[in-house]
Amino acid sequence: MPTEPQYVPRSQVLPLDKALEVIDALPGGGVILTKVEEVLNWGRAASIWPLTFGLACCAIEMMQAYATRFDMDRMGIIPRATPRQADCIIVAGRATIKIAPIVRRLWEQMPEPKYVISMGSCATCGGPFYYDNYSILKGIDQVIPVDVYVPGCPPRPEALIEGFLKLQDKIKKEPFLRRRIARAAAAATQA
Amino acid sequence: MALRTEELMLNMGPQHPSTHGVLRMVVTLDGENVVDVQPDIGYLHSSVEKMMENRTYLQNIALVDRGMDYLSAMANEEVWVLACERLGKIEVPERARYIRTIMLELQRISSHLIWLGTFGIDLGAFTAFLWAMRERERIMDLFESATGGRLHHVYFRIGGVFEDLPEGWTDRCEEFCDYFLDRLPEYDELLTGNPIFLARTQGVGVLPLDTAIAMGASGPVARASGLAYDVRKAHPYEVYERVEFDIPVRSEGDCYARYLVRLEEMRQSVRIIRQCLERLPAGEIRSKVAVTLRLPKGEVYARTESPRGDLGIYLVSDGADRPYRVKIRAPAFSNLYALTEMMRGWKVADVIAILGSIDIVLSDVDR
Amino acid sequence: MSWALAEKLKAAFPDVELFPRAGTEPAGTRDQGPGTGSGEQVTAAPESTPAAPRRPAHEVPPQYLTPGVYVPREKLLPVCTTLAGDPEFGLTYLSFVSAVDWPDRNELEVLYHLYSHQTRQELALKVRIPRDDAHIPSVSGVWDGANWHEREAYDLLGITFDGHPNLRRIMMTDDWVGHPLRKDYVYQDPPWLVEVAKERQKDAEGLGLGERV
Repeated sequence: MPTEPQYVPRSQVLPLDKALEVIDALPGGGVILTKVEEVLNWGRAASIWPLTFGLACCAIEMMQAYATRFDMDRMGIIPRATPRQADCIIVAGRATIKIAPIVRRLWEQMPEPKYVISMGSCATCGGPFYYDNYSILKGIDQVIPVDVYVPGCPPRPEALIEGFLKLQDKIKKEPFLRRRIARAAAAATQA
Repeated sequence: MALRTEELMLNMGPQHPSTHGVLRMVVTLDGENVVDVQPDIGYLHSSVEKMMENRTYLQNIALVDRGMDYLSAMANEEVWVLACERLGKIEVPERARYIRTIMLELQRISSHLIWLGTFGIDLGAFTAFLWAMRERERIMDLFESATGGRLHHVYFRIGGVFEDLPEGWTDRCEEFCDYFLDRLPEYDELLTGNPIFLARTQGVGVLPLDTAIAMGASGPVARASGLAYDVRKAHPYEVYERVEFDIPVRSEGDCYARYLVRLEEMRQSVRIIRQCLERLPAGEIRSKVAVTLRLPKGEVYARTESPRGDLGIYLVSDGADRPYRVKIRAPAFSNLYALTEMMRGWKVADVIAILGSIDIVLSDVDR
Repeated sequence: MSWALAEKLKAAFPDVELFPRAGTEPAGTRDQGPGTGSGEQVTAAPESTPAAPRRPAHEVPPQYLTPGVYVPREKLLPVCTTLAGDPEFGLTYLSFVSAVDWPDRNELEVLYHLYSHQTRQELALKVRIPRDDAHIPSVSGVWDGANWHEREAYDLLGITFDGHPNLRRIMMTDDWVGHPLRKDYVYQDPPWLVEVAKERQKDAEGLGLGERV
């Protein structure tokens, strides 16, 4: 006669706050974790899905980078139209103060882990719109954290591709699993 | 008992792949029918007019490239230097005027190509986008070799152009004209005769002529409604009065007419470029103008035909080394205002087609 | 460009005042009918006018290369109705509505630019209004296209258009303070932006640039 399955909270099955200690204490545990991470990161880096979100001139060069001749699809960079499916947002162009809350919300809507590429001088620091200006944000990093800055006004498609390569480097080096376990542990202890 | 229905408010944008930038539209729907559309703009307002008051006449050339319609940077430069030259009565050498005309027409083609590509995407024809970008890339190469920039050229100067054309440029430009005319029939095959495309555009989003004029629409949008008005013909600048070209005008006023007008405009642009290349005179490319140019006190309104329509600048100078006030008359701003009229009564799926057909650039709308 | 329209308007409405035309050619030489290149006129102009003696810039009278008239505020609506409705003028196309701020004269010049597709003639209208009492009748009933242009002028220059159907800010957010294109406007970051930027600064300092947990 089957007994009723008893509900056990997940945090008791997997004591996450201890997980990292246990893994590191195991012989070779840390190495295995790192290797698993590397595999995962390799996959993540090769399929960055940016959000199609163009603000100004840089968006045209971004379109060109997706299109013929530059064709970013070959690097696994496929534009997605909704932030829920995207893991990278390219802030292409100058962001106004009016749109800053919307960029912030889009960024918040993206699932973790998420990355930001600031494309062009305007998104990086205000660029040509820095002085005597009342409506442009002086750098999108006032609102959302930026991972890669691509300079240029506007950057050539090659520069944007270089930015993506830099982002791939960054992703490949990230202690992704470790960070995720630590965060889950923190959440579990809080609950 | 009558069935009670409610109107539904639908918010499109500012992040929407088909709004061509950061346009927000509040669409009121009755079932599937569009009752009202209220465009909400200003998400790319870059305070260009204020900034221009604080920059010298020369510096402003770089600013109008970026701050105004970024798909046709040359057209922005043109209207700015034209206003300055008219007020300062500055001569432009013949060769520079020909070069400018060539550049303006190349810019028109490249801008229309972007429109064609994005309009194709809006209607589900992704191939059009790839093809249009392929052609556009050749124009970018031409621009880059002549001006150094792909998108923002800062090539025109008050009283001429920055540099002469590089060696062999005219041949390459000629080559591009041949290449491009060969490619245009492909678009006809891809879109003009495509039943899906026709069903989505023919008779959709009609803008009557009197409404178009009253709302201040211009450019291909007005020409598709039957307004035979092109600044290049009505008030020729540069060398437009010396070259032969036709203004395509349609009377239907629907999305398809706007498509045909733009497609024909590209053909005419090639025609203009060829004539200019043939007659391109040798000589100076720039008259002597001081870097710290001071224009005389006065006011002038210069208008040009940008790819989007009637682009004007009202320049007020008080004799200082920078303008006192600049008002940019943006064609897309007025064209976008006509959007509400075009969309009323159509289905929600047509919203994208109609918006795509008027070819707005938000940077031009908001400035 | 022809000043004939401006003179015709002056005849119909004695209250209006033509733009000062010192320094420009006499009327008629510029009036060459439709289709003539204005690009040509620019090059032709210095030849036809005798070389004026050089004077310091501030003494030179301003040139108004666009024909236009000053209209008193009370007369704006009748003038506009005539210009748009009367086939003699036929200015059915409104290019833009804007304004020029002259703080030293405590004056705003509201600027209208009109055009006729039939005769290919243009006319600028200017209405002088005091800066501290900046309101003017709306012409959106005459030209429908004025609607957004007037909203823009209201937003950026703080001019109230009486009788406008929907006078809201169009470029800036609804809670924006001040009218940016006025000459005495001073920019300030909106408070929420200051707060967000401070938070971001803290993040950046605490975690290293661009790094998140």
